[in-house]
Amino acid sequence: MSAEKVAFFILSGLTLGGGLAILFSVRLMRAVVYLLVSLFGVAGLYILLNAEFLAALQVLIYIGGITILMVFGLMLTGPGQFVNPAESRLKAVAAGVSSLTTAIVLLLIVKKTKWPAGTQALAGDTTAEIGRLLLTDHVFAFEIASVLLLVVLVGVALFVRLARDGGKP
Amino acid sequence: MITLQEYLSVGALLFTVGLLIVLFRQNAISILMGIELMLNAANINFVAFSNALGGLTGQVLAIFVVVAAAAEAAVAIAIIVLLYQNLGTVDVEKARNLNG
Amino acid sequence: MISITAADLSGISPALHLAVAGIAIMLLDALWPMRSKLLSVWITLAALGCSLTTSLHRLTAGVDVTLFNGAVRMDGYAHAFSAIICLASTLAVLSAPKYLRLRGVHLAEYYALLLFSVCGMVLFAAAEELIMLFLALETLSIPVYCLVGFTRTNVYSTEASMKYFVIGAFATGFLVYGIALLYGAAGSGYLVDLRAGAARAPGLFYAGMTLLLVGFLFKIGAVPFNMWTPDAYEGAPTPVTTFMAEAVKAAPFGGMIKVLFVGFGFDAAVGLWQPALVVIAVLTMTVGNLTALVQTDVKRMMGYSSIAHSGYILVGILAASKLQSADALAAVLYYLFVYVLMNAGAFGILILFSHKDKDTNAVEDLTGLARERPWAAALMAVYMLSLTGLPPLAGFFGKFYIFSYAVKAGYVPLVIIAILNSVVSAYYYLKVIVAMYFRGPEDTGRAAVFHYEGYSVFLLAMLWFTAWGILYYGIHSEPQLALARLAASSLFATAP
Repeated sequence: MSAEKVAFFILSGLTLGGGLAILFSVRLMRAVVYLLVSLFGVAGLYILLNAEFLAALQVLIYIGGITILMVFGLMLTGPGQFVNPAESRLKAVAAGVSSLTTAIVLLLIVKKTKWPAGTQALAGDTTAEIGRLLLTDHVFAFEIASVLLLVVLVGVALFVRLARDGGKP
Repeated sequence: MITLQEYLSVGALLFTVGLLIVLFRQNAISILMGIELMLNAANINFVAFSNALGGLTGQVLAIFVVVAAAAEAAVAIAIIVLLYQNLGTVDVEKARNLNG
Repeated sequence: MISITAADLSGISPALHLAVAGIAIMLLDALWPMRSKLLSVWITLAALGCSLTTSLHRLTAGVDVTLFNGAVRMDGYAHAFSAIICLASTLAVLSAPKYLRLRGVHLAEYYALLLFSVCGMVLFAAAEELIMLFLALETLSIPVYCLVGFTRTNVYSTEASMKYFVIGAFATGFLVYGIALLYGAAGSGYLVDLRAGAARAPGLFYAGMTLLLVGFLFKIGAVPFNMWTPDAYEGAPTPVTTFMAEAVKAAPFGGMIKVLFVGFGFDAAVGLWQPALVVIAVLTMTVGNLTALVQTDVKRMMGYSSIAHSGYILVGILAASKLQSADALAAVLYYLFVYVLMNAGAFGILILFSHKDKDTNAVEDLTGLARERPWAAALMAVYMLSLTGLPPLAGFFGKFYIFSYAVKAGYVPLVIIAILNSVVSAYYYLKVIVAMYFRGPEDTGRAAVFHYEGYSVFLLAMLWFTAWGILYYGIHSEPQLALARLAASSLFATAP
């Protein structure tokens, strides 16, 4: 087994194990830590896939941003605990069955997909190339993403304003 | 050598784990975690395809998904904090003023 | 290096007006907070008016341009949707000032968020690329999550906001995963290239298609993906519910129809999604209508009724895809136009009688309205009868065109179910009319008070316009249908 393969199994183990740990953990704060582990595993997978820039982005935005945001959220909403699984058994069974069916169908489809083995290194400076793509082929999506971020800014500021002064100007 | 199938399988499994978290947990923050995992699963697919197809478009698409995920998370946390101030709970099922 | 040309900017101007106006409102609010409220209403109306007239003008002129390296395409179809959505949003904006002022939350942010959302909607129908579709969907949904929670003291609205967010984000998860699989199968994100994916990697392609459609069905509130839609309708401030019931309802159809006809419009894929949509249309109509029967709150009832109307629109989409005819698709666009008028009006009446501390939402609250305020009751009756589908109102013609094309396409059992559903729906729409006309305070044991608190010219203009539209555009539907046909044929020109 090559070193690459070992790394792949460890990283996907971290990713999936972290996810499953969230599902079964009782304390929310621990769940956030498991989320961190899982997202870190995903960043590792990106490096194996020659996407170094995206791996860095994953660490910065997800691990440095979103998880921290969740920790703030937890602190502001008091010591939360995971509530016990769905009250009605019927709902739980339906949820479980539908998720497992999704998993099996997706895995079968993936297994049937025929594709040459990937991971050929992309030539040149991928970060510069991503930047070029963002400003040429995908320039409009890039602009819309900035509108989206502006929306979030306005929306969150609005919630703060409503919570602070009850909407009085 | 790691094949495309193996990466896609990890993506599919991570998507299912996210789905299970959303369906089985009622705390708003944990639902948010499940949704983030679903988006990450999609991103693993994007990057794996990008690699297999030998272009960078998939990675660019993944960047947009990360941006949207961050945007959603920020709004979600703001709503959750407001919900806690008003209701004293962040349990989506317990919030039953609207009889849904 | 940055590849934006002047032609790109002028082509996209219907969306650009809206985004620029949104930014202008935020700046104005920061620089001149005392006067910004009323000014932002006027700026919003001006921007929406500009977009509406530009879209209509370009639709009639037959403008068809592909912009930004193929990311968006402003053709007749996109312009028609842009026009419908701008009209819907104008009606929603007209209903807002009175309500927000009464609640003490008349803030400029309301109009800015609404404009950004409308900008996303216009782009949603114009997107030619999967990632644009996704970003436009986010831009249209995230402001709505914020708008639903647009009151502070009201716990209902915060709860509705949370529930609406969870559903929306869950749908996004499916949508993005579907997009990832489709991108992998086709090797490209452009809608026209998708069919190549079905040949290269059929498994991935059909899994992606299913997940993408699940995401869309969540957004249009189809059964079984409709949980909490009525909760969101009930809990949101009424002007926001108006916006959700017409604009936010119509917009997802813009993207969905385009993806179905352009991306998945080839035989092998059609053979899969058509039967699935038939089942979903039947479920959506039936469950929506049956649940609406037992509701006592008008907002909630309209929530379920909007689910049922999604079912009727799905019938129209099925007919158009079976017949491959622009006329049948034009019927769907006409229906959306009429649907916008009816819903805006119905919610407008609720806003007309909402007070500082209490909404007028229950059916019972409208008891005896006809004696006190005959004109308001007459307007509400027009909206309700049109929603039921009574001739010669526009609602009847909307349904009539859709159903007749569905019969032509051979969907006879589906049409029979749809007509039975319309009959069932008459019960709950007429319940409102009975309360207004045939019952009085003596029946409920409460004194009926109907006074206009916070008189608003905007709201009255909206009510009269919608009622006139329902009466006029029913009989004179030809100009509207001609425009819709123009739009639909431009979509069929792109479709494979």
